[in-house]
Amino acid sequence: MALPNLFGEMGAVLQEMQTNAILQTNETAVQYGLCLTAEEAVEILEARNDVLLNYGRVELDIEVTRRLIFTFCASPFMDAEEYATTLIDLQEVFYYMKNETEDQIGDEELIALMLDYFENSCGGSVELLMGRELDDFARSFRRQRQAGVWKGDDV
Amino acid sequence: MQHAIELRSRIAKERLNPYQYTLSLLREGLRVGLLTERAVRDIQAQIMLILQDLIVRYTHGESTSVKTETAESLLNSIFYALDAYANAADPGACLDRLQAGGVREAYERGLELVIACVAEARAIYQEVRRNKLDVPLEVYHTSIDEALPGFFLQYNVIFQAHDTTCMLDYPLVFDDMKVQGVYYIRRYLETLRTETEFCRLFGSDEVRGLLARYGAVYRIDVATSPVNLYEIVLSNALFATLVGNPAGQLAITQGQYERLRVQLRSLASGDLAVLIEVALEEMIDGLGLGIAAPEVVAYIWRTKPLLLQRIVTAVEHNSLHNVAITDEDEPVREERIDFVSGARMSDAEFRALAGQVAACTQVAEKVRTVLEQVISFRDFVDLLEADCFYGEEYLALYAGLGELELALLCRVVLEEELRLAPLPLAVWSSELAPEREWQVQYVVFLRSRNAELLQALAERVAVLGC
Repeated sequence: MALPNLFGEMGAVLQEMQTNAILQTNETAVQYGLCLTAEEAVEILEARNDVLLNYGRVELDIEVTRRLIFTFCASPFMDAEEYATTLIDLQEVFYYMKNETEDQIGDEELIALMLDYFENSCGGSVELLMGRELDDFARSFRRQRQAGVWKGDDV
Repeated sequence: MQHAIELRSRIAKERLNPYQYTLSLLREGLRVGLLTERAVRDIQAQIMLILQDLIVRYTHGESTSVKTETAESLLNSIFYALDAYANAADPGACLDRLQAGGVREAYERGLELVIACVAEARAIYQEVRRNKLDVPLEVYHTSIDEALPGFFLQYNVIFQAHDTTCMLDYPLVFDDMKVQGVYYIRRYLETLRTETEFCRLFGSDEVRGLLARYGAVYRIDVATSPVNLYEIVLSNALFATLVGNPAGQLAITQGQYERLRVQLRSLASGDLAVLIEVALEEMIDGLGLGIAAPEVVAYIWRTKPLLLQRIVTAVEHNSLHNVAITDEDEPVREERIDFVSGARMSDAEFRALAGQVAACTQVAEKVRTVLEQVISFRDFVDLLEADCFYGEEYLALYAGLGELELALLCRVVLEEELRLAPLPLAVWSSELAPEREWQVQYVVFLRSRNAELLQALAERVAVLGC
C-alpha cells in the first residue's frame, strides 16, 4: 500500500494549511528581525517534501519545521537575507541526521544538538554543520551504539 | 432514504476484495454513488490523523517522522483493523459510519475485534497443543512448539496487526496465504485442529506405520519432510474402506491393493467418483463422526475433489501404488503393457499414433497415450525411435513401465554389455555407448534406480534369457 498513491489528492488543501502554519511563526520571528513571505513559506514546504522523499521519510505534520524556525530564529547567526535559505538547509540537515542516527535521537534533542553545534563550533555555518560536525557526530554515535554504550543502553 | 437504500443495494459484493476490504469498499461506494469524492478525501484525512497518532506512539512521542517503510507498515496495520470492522458490518452501514466522521470509531472497534481474535487464536492453540499427535514429523512439532508461540510473543496489534512473521513450515491441505496477521493464524489453527482431530481417530502405531511406509514409497526422510499427515491418513483410510477393512484401520495388504487396482481400472471415471463418494460416507459413518464432529466431516468433503483427482490420475497412469500405501516394503511394479506377439499396428495406425503422441503438450498425456494404445513390443520400440519424446520425457515414460517392459528394453539397449556382465554392472560399463536418444535416457534411468530394483530387473532379464 503506497502512501503517495493513496493520498495524492489531498495536496492542495493541505499545502494551504501548512503554509499558514509556517507564516504564523512570523509572530515570534519578527522580534528578531526575521520574516518569511508567503512564497518563501511555500518554498520551505516544497523543499521539505523533496527532502522527505529523497531521504525516504514520512511526516504528516510540519511540527519539525515550526520547531526549527522557533529554535533558530533566536540565534544571532540567523541573517534576514538568508533566513529562508538557511531554514531550507536546516530541514535537510535534520532529516539527514534522523536517518544517520537510525531514529534513535528524538526530534527535540536533535534540534537542540543542531543549535549547539551551529552556534558554537560551526560559527553559524550550515555547511560546516552538515559537512563536518554532524557527520562526525553521526559516525561517533553509530560506533557507540555498536559498542552498546549510548545512553539508554545497558552497559 | 429510499434513494440511499437503493444505492446500497447496488454494492456488488463480488467487487469487494476480501484482502483489502476497506479500500475496495470505498472504491465501490464511490462507484455506486454512496460516496462523493469529497467524502472519500475526508475519510482519507481521518485515516491520516490516525496514522499521525500512531507515528507519535511508535516513536514514544520523540519524533513526528518515520521512515517510509515504517509509515507504510503502520498504515497497513490501521487498515487491518478497519478491515476487521468493515468485514463484520453491513457494507452500506459501514460506509455511512465512515463518511459521518466515524473513522476513528471504526478503527477502534476494529482493534477490539482483532484483540478478540488474538484471544480466540490463543485458546485454539492451547487445544492444538494439548492434542498434539505423537508422530515423527519435525515440521509439525516445530510449527506447534516454536513457530506459533513465537508469533504470539511478538505480535503487535497496534503497530503490526497485519504481520504474520512466523515460520509455519507444516503444510495444511487448505491454506489461504493471502490472509494476514492473526486472522491467518486463527484460520491455520482451526484447520490444524480439524486435521489433527481426524488423525486422532486412528491409533498412533497405525499412523506412525503408515508414515514410515509413505517415506519408503517416496524415498524421502519423512521425519524432516514437509508432508501433510491428514492427507496421507485420509487417503489410506479411504482405501482401507474400499477394500472392506474395519473403520479405524489404515493398513492395506498387497493382495487387497491388487484387487482394488484391478477394480478401479475397470471403472469409468463417473463410476469411480460415485464409488469414492460412497466409500467416504461409509468411512465417516464407520468412524462415528456424523453429528459429533461436523467440522471434520465438512473438511473431509472439502478434501474429496483433491482426493478424487489424485486417484483418477493414479488409476490412469497405473501409479495407484503411490497413492494407496500398502503394508509391503516395496511397491509392486505391475505390468503396464501386455505385449502381444505379432499384434503390430499397420503403418497408417502407427503414423496416427506417433502424430497423436507428438501433439500431446503434457508429458503425462504422452505417457498415458503410449501405455494405453501400444500392445506390441516392436511397435513400442519403433515409437521410441520415432522421436516423439524428448530428453527427460523418456524418463517419465520408463517410470511408467513394469519390470517385463524394462527387462525387454534391457535386452535391446544392453545386448552386448549383458554378454559380459550381469545387469547392475552392465549399466555402468565404460564401453556403453548408446546411439539413440531413447537409449541414452534409458541408461540414465537405469543408473538412477537403487540396487534392489536393479537386482529384481536382472532376475527378470535372466528369466527372459540373454
